[in-house]
Amino acid sequence: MPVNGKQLAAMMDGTLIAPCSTKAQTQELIDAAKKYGFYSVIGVPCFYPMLVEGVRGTGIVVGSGCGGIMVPTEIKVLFAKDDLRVGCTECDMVMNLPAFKSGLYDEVVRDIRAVKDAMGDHVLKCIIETPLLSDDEIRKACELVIEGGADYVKTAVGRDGPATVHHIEVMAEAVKGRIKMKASGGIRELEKVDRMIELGVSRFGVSFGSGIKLIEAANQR
Amino acid sequence: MLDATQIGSCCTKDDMEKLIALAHEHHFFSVIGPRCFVPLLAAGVRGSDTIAGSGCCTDTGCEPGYLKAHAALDSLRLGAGEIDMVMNLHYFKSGMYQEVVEDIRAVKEAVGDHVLKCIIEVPLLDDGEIKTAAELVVEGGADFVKTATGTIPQPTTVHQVELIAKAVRGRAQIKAAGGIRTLQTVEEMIGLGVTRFGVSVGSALKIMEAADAR
Repeated sequence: MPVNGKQLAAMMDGTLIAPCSTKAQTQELIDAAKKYGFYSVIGVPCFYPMLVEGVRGTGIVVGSGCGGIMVPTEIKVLFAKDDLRVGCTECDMVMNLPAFKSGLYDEVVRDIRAVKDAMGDHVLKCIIETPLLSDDEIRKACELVIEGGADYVKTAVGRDGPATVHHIEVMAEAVKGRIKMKASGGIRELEKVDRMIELGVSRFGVSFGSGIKLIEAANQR
Repeated sequence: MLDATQIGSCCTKDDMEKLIALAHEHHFFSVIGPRCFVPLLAAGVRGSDTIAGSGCCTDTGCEPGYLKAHAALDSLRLGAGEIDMVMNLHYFKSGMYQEVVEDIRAVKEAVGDHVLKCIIEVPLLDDGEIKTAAELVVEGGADFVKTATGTIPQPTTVHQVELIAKAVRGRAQIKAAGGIRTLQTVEEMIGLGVTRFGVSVGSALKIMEAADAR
């Protein structure tokens, strides 16, 4: 049975990371999260304290990012620790793509493990940026993310193109249930969401405006 | 005058080696790659007249100032000689100008005498915002106002550089970056007072060849 809006919202990281996102829009994210019951809210780091304060007592999680694609491990760890300190309880990181594309796989694993060590029992999602990877690279990246100890393998940051159903198929086949999957990056149609859930995706990252449309569409069927 | 740049998500260690070789050949002012390769770049250009530059935040400057400052210090420790940062666009677009200035100041205080360039991301600003942003960068104490990250498809224009030049009136240097591809653009911008260019290394070689061929 396909998900309804409430069930979808409970799988959703409502995201607001547009380059010009403002304090006022961050407040809109908080309001939407409360209204629809998002699993979490993810904004930009300078507004984490505001997000933490805004959802306090609701059970909604504040997620964080820890520093972009090309950042050295030590800085990712520092950022992740600081995010926990200000009240975020989950973290999304990006696999070190330059290292991955250079074949420096030990470095990729070390990077993820260091951030996971900093997060402890808190959930760590690791983005592999599927739009920039071949199918073989997706399989390899999934293995490295599992080895690094992340809790989720996540598709994309959303800037390099959309995550496709095919990407999820390749990931699902590679991970075989050993790690959870988060889909993000250009997910705009309910059919795509349904198909990804069938393949085992348990979390979606969607800009919160698009997220609301998906939730409403799920409610209307 | 050139910060030869190669910071695509997928650029590799091999790309860095090539960038270093080109720096030795062409004597770029600096080389800038992904921050995870700062040690490699710094070691590669040591002893030459080229330095390694480094960013200290993501493309929208969204981190709190103390984290940018920390990242900047870490890059300097790893051998970078200059730091490029992005103004906090979220604060700026929220009208939180005092926070914008404090953010820049925090990084400048951390880097001390090392050069700090602050990107205002002109493709996302209107003319009035460009003037305000340039003013805030001067107030924050950065050494350069820099136009753009290059991640937004629209290029930096001569008009935008002119606005910055009028706003800063020599109180900061200007670095032009983002879609600068022709010698004519470069010359017009130099005429307006630009003293540094950030150009991806492939385009930079073409512009240099054009300058040599005239």
